[in-house]
Amino acid sequence: MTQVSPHARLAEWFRRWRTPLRKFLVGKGTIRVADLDDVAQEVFLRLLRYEAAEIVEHPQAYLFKMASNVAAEWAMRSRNRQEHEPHWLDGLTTEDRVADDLDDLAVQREIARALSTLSARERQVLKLHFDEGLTQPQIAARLALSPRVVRRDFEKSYSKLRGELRVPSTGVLTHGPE
Amino acid sequence: MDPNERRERVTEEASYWWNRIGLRAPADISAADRAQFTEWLRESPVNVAEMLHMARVHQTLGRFKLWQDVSVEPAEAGNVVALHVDSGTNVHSQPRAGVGKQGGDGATAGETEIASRVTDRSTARWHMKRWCLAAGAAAVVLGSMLMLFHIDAQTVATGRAERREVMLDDGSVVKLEPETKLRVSFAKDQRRVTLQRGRALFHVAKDRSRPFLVQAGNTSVRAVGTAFGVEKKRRNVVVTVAEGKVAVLASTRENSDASSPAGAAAGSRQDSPLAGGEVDGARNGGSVDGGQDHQNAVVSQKDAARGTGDGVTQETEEVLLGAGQQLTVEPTGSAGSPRTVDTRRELAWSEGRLVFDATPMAEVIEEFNRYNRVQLRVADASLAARPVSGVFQASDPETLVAFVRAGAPVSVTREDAGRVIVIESAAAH
Repeated sequence: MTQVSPHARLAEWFRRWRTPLRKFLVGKGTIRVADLDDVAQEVFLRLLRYEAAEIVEHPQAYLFKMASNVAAEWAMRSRNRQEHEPHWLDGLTTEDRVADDLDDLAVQREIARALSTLSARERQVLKLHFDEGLTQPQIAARLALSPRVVRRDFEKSYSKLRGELRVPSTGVLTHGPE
Repeated sequence: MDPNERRERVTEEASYWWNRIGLRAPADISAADRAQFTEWLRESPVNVAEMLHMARVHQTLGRFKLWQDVSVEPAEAGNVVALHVDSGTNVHSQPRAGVGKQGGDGATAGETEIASRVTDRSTARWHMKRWCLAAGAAAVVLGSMLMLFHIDAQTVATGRAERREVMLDDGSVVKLEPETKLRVSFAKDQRRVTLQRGRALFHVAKDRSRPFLVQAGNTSVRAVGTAFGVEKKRRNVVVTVAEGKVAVLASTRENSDASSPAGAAAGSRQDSPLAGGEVDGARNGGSVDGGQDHQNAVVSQKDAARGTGDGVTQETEEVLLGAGQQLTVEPTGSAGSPRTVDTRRELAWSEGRLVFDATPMAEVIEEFNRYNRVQLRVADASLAARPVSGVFQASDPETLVAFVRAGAPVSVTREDAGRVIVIESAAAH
């Protein structure tokens, strides 16, 4: 096998296994967290307009694609109303990821605080996943737990964090271009 | 069921669906699951909303940079970073052997824990990358992929009256002043930041395998683990070190911001020798005597291009700055010698204070205006030239107004619904 640079292989991996979620989470468009519920309302209505059978093929794709579209539409509309902000334009002209609220030190501390409300094992499971990149089966093996238990830990953690995380309403959920 | 209970129930359902279906490639999910998920989504907009909130939680976890500080020990005295464990409402099974073991032999347990932990964050990331490449399956959890996206560059910017404290992926913290723009580009062998405008205070996390480089105009500041401020002013670049040591490199040409992670600007040439020469006297109260012998202050090093990847060998001279020292670099590349300063004064801006020493009012007002939505204006030339000395709260222009009032009769009028404060000499009516 020819020597391919890790970066190229990674790029290839992405192309082959690209999922709607990845596009959703890595992109230049954003949904303000404060708008999330409203965006969801609009997405819900659009989901109803489709035939169920059509969506069932790729439900996540539809969900994220629609959320992206709605957010993009709204962003376009709000920008037309707002005064031109030069810094916004700066972010747009580069390929760079624009640092958002999640980069703020205060927010990082808040995430640490929210994590402290989880159980030790829940934290451990999340840490093994997000910091060391282990999959759930690998975590189960490492901790000598059943996969079901690990899955439950994830589910409980996400539920708890959903309520616990006090991220600013100016925070954003990034979505990908579609 | 009351609305709160309902929402909580939906959150649990969304978490279930997220973990079951949200991260996987469509091909990996059974038709039955997909149908059920679709039906669930179409039940209520609240379901859709909670699903998006789950994505947000996932994104947040993926962007968390302080995992090293997160304790995975059950209740333990001396947990350092104030991350206390759950209040006991959660019942969890006994920790298994070899992991997080509590008990009499605390030392052994600690060692086991450390041995099983990857202590080097950058190594951990590269292990993840290798693992992901090997797996090559869509089942690879995308959460880990999120961290890999940090090989991209990142832009941080602040507007007028906006200050911001940001944590970089290596744990370094940068305090940005208003109207400041940074470009962050970390690679495996170096951590590179370009200060495109404004000023910022850097608290650099120790990482011996990767030097931290701040590029501002024609000036390059290299640090390993330290705290220092860099100001890109209209003409000069000022570097002030609070803790540790940095190496400052000046070149005769402004280095353009590299678009590739590894490349410095091609064609950066050898800098001019660091003779005393002219130093811009406009720097508040500071000046360096020209013509002095700087040999004892300047440390010269002949360096090849420091792993910047552009392949160009260049002769460079570095100036080492220690704590309490400041260097001002001219656009020409000449830099004078480091001078000893009171860093609390010189870096007071990072604490939200502005310090002036016989600075003309016009300049003082310009500074204040960067920090505030309420803008100050001075109506007459004599007032604009008046020297101002003192320490002011950057976020409170009224303190400056009070100061001016105390010094001479002035009239203060507010215009534009209070957004502008105009000060003029009382005599000028």
